Amino acid sequence: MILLFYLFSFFIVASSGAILFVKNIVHCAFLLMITMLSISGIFILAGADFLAIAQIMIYIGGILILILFGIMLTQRNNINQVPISNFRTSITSILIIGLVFTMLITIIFKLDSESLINQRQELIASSSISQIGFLLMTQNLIAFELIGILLMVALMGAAMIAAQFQDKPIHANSSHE
Amino acid sequence: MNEIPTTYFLFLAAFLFSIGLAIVISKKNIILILMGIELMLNAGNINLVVFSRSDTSMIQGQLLALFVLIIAAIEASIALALVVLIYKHFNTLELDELNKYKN
Amino acid sequence: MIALLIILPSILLFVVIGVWAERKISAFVQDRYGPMEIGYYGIFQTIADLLKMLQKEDILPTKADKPLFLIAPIIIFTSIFAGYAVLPISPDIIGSSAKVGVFYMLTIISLDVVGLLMAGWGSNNKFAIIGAIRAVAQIISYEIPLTLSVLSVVMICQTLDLQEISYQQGIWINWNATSNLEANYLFGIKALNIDTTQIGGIFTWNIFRFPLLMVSFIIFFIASLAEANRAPFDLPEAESELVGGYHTEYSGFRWGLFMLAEYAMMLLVAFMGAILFLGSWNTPFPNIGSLALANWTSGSPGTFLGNIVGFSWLLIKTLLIVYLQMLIRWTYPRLRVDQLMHLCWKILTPIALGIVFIASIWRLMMI
Repeated sequence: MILLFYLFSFFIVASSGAILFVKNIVHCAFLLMITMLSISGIFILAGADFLAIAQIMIYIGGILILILFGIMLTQRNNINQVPISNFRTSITSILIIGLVFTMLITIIFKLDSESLINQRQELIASSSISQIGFLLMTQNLIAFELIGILLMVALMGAAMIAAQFQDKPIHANSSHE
Repeated sequence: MNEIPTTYFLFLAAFLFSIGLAIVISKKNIILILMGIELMLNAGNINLVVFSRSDTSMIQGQLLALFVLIIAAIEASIALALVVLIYKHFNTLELDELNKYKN
Repeated sequence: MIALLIILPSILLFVVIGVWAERKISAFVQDRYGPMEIGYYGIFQTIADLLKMLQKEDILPTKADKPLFLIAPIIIFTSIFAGYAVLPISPDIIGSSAKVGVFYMLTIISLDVVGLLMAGWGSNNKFAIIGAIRAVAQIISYEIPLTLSVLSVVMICQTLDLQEISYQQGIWINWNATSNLEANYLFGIKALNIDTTQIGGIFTWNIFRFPLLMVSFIIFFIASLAEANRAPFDLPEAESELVGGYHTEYSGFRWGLFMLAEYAMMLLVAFMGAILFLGSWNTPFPNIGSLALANWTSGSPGTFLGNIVGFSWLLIKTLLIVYLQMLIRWTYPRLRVDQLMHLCWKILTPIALGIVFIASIWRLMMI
């Protein structure tokens, strides 16, 4: 089990670190896919199986395709040289990131981790999905309905934003079908 | 699932969060910044799920993580629609260039 | 482990037989003979093709994006092959008895979309990019009627576990039951009071537990044809328009991997259709009075005979669906891209939504 955790976290660390340094933006998108798959593995190790598969479906099956379409439709000229930044801003960013990381690590070390013991062995053995369904329908019903309305509003909004292309003549776009 | 201590997951989430922050601060392409934001949201999700393990009977943490997931999807879709629109208008996606068009 | 050892050779065997069967079926539909030279009746044609393909040169275009180009076929085939892990081959053999089996299979279909995009973009070829974007648009649009029709089945069966769905569709419905014993009613209507639990056979299949599931099955079948990029939805690989679509630049064994992935996907959705709608490893013969046909033609779970018989029933149903898929390929003309989208969004999705509503009310009233 720990071995699986180390494997998944190695993939997460390696691919998200590589997003920082890789110059080709399409490669960055596919490294994001590897990161999402490994995060889904971490969710399964933490006992959330429904959430893990929902993460794969929503992130990789939805957001990543959107990102890839966005890249393909907009980056015609500078696909291979994504300018990172000049030296001064990268030093500043490394300092800030180090600061944030150190803050988080000290918080974790000050945690009283004996009180965070697992208490739900039998619930982890069964699936979380029946419990999630039950809670969604009884306790968190308002949030469920509001999210449905929000999704519909977002759908209409994105369609309206995209519909503004129809008026202006755009240059001939061979990858646009 | 019981053997992995909670602090291991928390370290991983902290690292992921700081890498997401690094991407947002140091990159100039809007789509890369969007990727960094997604990484930060995922780090928060890992934290939520891990702390819901210590819940006695309910899995409120996983439920909240599910809502965060859905909202991240919504804002990513609207952000990308806006990105394509910006590209059609200004023909560039670098933040420094776009800054010049602010007025 | 056993499931892996059974499934991997059967997929490879299916591809070999499937290509030959497709050429023969297309030949008989078009009133000719098909391959007759190699072997008796042309049986070894596919093996000859395989040998030819394996010794071809592996071409890598100069300006192609090397990592993307090389890894794309591997991702497509691996994600489709991972979907076989939750199929209940027989009453005892299942790769992974995850409680979220159905959801996992729908996710697998979304996973191989990214591989398609990788293949299309990495080829650095206009036809490949157009083919890849068309394929992606088609697959993500048809995921919605697919998911909705599967959702109506899940509402009737009250579980996402594929092995439990299989148990509910036959005479062994109470084999694993611990607390309340369930009963199947004819057409799911309790008021008619025809208890078909002991009758079994075709009367307990999902398409009889809720008759509108037949419409749902048709929607599932059409949507799964579109997911597998098979005709009449094979616009992404339309040979007369786009040379080859997203696998234009591939040659040798990598192209073979694409074909393998296409046939594996076809088999996967056929398996899903048989398991969800047609009563997976259960027998179609009912127990009528003293003619206990169902008991005679299905072994009990746990015995060796039960597993063999269950697997063969599932295989027969799946191969029937595959045969239907191949027939449809050579019968109907290809759909244009706006006709495709019209079919998906204006026809299939509203019908599937309506069936989901009726299914939820049906199940409530049945209880």
